[in-house]
Amino acid sequence: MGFFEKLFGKSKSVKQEEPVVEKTLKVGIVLGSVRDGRNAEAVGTWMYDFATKRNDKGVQYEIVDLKDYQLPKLGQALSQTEQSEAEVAVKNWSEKMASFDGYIFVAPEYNHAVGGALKNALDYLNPELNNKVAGFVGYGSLGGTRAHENLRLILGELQVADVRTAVTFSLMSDFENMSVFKPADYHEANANQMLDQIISWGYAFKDLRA
Amino acid sequence: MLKIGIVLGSVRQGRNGEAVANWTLDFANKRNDADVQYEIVDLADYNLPFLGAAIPEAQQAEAEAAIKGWSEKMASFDGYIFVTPEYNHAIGGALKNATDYLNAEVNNKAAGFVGYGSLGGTRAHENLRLILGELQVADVRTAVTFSLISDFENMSVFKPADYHEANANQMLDQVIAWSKALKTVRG
Repeated sequence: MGFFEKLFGKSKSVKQEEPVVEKTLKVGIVLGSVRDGRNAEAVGTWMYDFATKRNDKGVQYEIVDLKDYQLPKLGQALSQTEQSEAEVAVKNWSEKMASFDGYIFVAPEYNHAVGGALKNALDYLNPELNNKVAGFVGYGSLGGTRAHENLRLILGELQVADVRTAVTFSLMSDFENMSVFKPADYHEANANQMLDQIISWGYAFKDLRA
Repeated sequence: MLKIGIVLGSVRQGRNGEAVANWTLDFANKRNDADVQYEIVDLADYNLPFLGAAIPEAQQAEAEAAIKGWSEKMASFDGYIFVTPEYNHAIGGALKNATDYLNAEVNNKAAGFVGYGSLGGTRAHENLRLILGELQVADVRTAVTFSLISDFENMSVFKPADYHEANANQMLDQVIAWSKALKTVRG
């Protein structure tokens, strides 16, 4: 408070109506595994519930399931029928991913990297993702962290700003029998930090794209 | 007899990998390495589903055959030369998916790399090193790295410069030496 305001008190007579700008952010939670019985579903659902419970003003979360887009392997030879089906799948995948301002990739680690299905799906994209942000929720013996670091490099080329904090679930301690998801509470701190980073960077990059 | 599989790691229609793999095979054969046999393994011949994906009844038999065929073919080698492009600074999804089906088939064997891309596919190579590390494959030092700019016309007609032959020889020497050594580990 300035000197004059202290002396004379803040003027209450003029009420300035600030225009309310609706800032919205759409974040896609991408299920990065297509395995029958995958843990990604439970983890992705947990992430979705956790995120929505925060009631972040103006932020909308949505699950995007890789399984819903039967993408062929990039460039492979296809029969006529497969060709038309594929075109629809690729178009839908592209449009869906383009609709978001940010992403949370939920992915397991296969041989110290992301799996082929997720890599293949990302290879179809580029402008849809440019100048957007992404976070990561991994699971594996070491929290899927090597898949995360692999993804950082791929996203780097795709001009996606990957945030610092990731959520890393251990197949040993956050699952029963490596298949029933029972996440420990302490992950919530990282989940909040990651979401904070995605939201803050998300808005910044949205302005950049405007 | 030492058997080396030249794995064509791209399934793209019109892929440059074919020309590069053929060049690698010809170059390797011309060396007349005693007791070494080279063979091209084309990923496009194995219609592998994405690992673990649900497969409709009608396609199940075919999928199982493809997976079995891929496993048996890869198990038959003592060493590998992965020929691959670079997609977004890493190997493509088809090759990653295919390698994810393997483990015992490739353990304690050696592998070399022939890449092509704007920077010789080297980032795909470094990505593959880490994957092969987990698969207990000894990846040799030297790689052959073709530039899409200078070793191809219009990024599609393969016209490799001569200087790559030095690396190709070095890589093959290493793959042969390591494959022989690791064969003794496998017993």
